[in-house]
Amino acid sequence: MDDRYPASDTTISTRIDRDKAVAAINDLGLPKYRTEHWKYTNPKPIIEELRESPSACPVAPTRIEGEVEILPFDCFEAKKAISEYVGSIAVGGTSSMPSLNLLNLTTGYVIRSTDSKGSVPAVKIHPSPTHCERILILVEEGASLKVIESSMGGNRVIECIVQENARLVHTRLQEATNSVEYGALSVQVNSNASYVLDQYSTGTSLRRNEITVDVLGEESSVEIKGGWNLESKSHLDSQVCVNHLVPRSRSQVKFHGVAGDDSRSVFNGRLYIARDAQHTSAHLTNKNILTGENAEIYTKPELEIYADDVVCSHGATSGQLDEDQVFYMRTRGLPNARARELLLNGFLQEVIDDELGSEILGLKPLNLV
Amino acid sequence: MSLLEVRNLVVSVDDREILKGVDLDVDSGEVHAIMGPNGSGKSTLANALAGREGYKIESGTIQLDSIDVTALEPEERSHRGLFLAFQYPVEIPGVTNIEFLKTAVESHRAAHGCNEISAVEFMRNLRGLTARLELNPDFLKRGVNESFSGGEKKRNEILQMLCLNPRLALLDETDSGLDIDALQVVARGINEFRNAANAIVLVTHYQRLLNHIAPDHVHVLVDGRVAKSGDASLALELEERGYGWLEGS
Repeated sequence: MDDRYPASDTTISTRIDRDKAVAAINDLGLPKYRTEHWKYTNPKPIIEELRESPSACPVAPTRIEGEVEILPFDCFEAKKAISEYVGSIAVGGTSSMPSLNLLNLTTGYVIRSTDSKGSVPAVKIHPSPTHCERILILVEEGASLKVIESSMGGNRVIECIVQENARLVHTRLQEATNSVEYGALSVQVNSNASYVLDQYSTGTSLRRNEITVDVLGEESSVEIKGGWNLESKSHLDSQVCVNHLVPRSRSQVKFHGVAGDDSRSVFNGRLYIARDAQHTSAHLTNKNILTGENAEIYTKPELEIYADDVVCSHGATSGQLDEDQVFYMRTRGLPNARARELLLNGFLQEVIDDELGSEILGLKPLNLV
Repeated sequence: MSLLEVRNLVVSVDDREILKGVDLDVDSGEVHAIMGPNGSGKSTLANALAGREGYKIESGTIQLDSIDVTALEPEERSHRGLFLAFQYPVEIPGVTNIEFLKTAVESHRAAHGCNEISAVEFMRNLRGLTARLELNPDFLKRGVNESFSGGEKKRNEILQMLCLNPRLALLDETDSGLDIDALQVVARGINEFRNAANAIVLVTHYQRLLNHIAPDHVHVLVDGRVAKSGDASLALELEERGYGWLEGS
């Protein structure tokens, strides 16, 4: 054990594989500003926040409907799942931040769905600002689960395993806050399984999202959609990677962002198609609209393909609102500001799940349950 | 006093003078057709009347119901009863037709100090109008003009016109891109709209729309000026002789 990362004497810390996390940090180094993966975002405030003690009690995920297990990390029944999975999915890769999360955990939960009959079980994950949190989501063979997650600062890593023939639908609302937020989401998708993510982010002084999906089973599908609307000095950095490691799977990644005022939006999306992943269909787009004089958008879509029989595409755009559209609306009597508002909402609505769209985009208090 | 009174209108686009002094008087209950060869300034006139940015009014005035609207914003002209049906209606993905129509109607009502219309009443009106224009109700749930056929886009323009019930409808090449059946549906919509209190200005290249909508006056625009005005027989003469004989006049 590396003595730079001493273990605290809690049930949580004794149950996790610290050696693996320490090895990953030693291997990758601490995240550093201006390196490839942190080119436009300084990780220092995120790392510093890990040293802060939580100022409030953690809020456990709650069941909304259906049969689903929710186990805190320190309960006996969670032990097996923790030792089997926690840290094995969201460790390594290109970021050592999930490993830092593991070494500084203040709270953790296992959510497990084994139900394959009846209505789809649903769980809500609540904001846990100031906490360093890890959540393991297991959707077992043939089961389904709906997860409605909201966050408002803090450091949260979610590991998901979607077993064969299972389905996980994940809705994520990242709410406005003045604090720093780090969120990593690592998903493993097995044969005939599907993972759907709908995400919406509002402005925060600093928010970093790392989403990694490993497609491990054939005939599986991944659909990731998201939008953000940044105002004032908000900073949002999204790193999205889908790794297709087996033949015959599908993925679709689509993000729309609006950067207003003095905000900064960073997007790096990558589709990796391994040599064996023939007949993959994978598509990634990121469209952005700049509304602020001093706003900045950095977007980089990437394709890395080693197979030779695949259908893949990637693209990104950055621009301003289409003045022809604005004029069209104004000739119908919409005031200039209302026309622009409706156009921006429409642009975001294209990637936001219908069910939540109007509530989110209307910025009304959200009552998901 | 005319419903629309345009006096010596000079308009430039990108520092190039397109309209070189247009006069036009349109009274209530009238239908005027503006014809002319490509590049004569027909669409520039329509856009300048609607207040499009980039269409700089160098001199002249536009009066609507005796109010000078020359310096008004496009939405203010709309609230005063001016409507422009576009030659190329823009697509707005993400904003549904119904949401757009409701917002447009509400904006008009707010400008006139009226209360919000009830959703039930709005939908009842809208269903009646879509049926008249032979539009599938699902059409209202789609993004504005998104993936619409040429005919659907033009019918959608007429639907918006009927919803807003303007004093003056400027229809910019509403007949382009329509097959014969769609042309008849669109023409029927326009004819049903036509009454003694409003007026219609049709910008068109061809006589064929005028076979369905009889104009009271026809004006020929050549090189940014009204070269000739007449009654419906002028359109027939143009169909036969072309525009060449008016150039240089």
